[in-house]
Amino acid sequence: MAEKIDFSKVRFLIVDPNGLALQMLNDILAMLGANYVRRASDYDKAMAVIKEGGIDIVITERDLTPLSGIDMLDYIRKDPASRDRLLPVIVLTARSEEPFVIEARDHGANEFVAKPYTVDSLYKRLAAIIAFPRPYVNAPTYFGPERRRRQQPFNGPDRRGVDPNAPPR
Amino acid sequence: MAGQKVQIIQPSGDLRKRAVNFKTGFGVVLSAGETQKLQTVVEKSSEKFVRDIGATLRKLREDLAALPEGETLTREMLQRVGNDAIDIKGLGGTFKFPLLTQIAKSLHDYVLQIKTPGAWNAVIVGHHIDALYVVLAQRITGFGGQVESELLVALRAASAKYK
Repeated sequence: MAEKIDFSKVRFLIVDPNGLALQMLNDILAMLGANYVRRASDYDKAMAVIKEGGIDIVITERDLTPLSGIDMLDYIRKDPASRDRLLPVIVLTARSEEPFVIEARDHGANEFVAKPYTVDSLYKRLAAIIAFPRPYVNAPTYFGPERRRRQQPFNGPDRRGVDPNAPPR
Repeated sequence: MAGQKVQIIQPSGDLRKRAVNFKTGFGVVLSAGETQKLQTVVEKSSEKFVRDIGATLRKLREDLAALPEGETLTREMLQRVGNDAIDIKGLGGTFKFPLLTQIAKSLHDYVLQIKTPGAWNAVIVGHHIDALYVVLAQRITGFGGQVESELLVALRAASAKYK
């Protein structure tokens, strides 16, 4: 029997300054069965919801005012006051060029979806976060989800210090 | 960094436990029927998209037309054009108007690189807005035909020439 995702059990915060984009995302989530969707059109309103807590997934545009979706990620991942540093965040943005993808990834985004998007592409990212959550990495210069997607054999030194069988450095 | 180990934190699994099951909801991998069902949401919003973007473009056209003779775009206008262009870029393809997305990207890229606004900038911005308006008014979904491809090439060439 195949696994299913019951979206009525998932609490969303969606953030986009464009009313039509926000409404469409809300409608897609409603069609999926989500019945807890908080909406915000700017950074401050989104942060108020995040600080309240009780959100499972954030989907945010990068370009917000007065601060950006990347600043929001920084708060969630790095701020000592953050209630949930592991809160999954999808950056859904029209800034789809490579530097913006790298920026979002390096600030700890779980997934990146470029606008214009298809419902299928968005769904795949949601399913990945819910059904196949990645481990998080806490390193001196990075906190966020594991950035390597493919598991490939690695024969180099165990700099992470996670392999009990690794030879001493 | 030497000696500072990296910590791997496994996700709690709480969300998976709550939401993943074998009875209700959408498949982890969408079936064709489920994709179709979700696509109806986009189709329902399509008319609103055409209305909203049409209104945005009309306003931009009016503001450009209202520029006094010899005046060019202000920084504030450029900012607004850039913001509207990125919105159209982000939405067009979702509503099956990928040509709108491409023209809007060309406009956004053009506006971004303007350092000191000059008379030509308003002309090039105006041509982009006219092109966006025509694509929307004619409901040119998909990438259009040869004329549309040539239009895009011409807009990019003009943008490169009149920086």
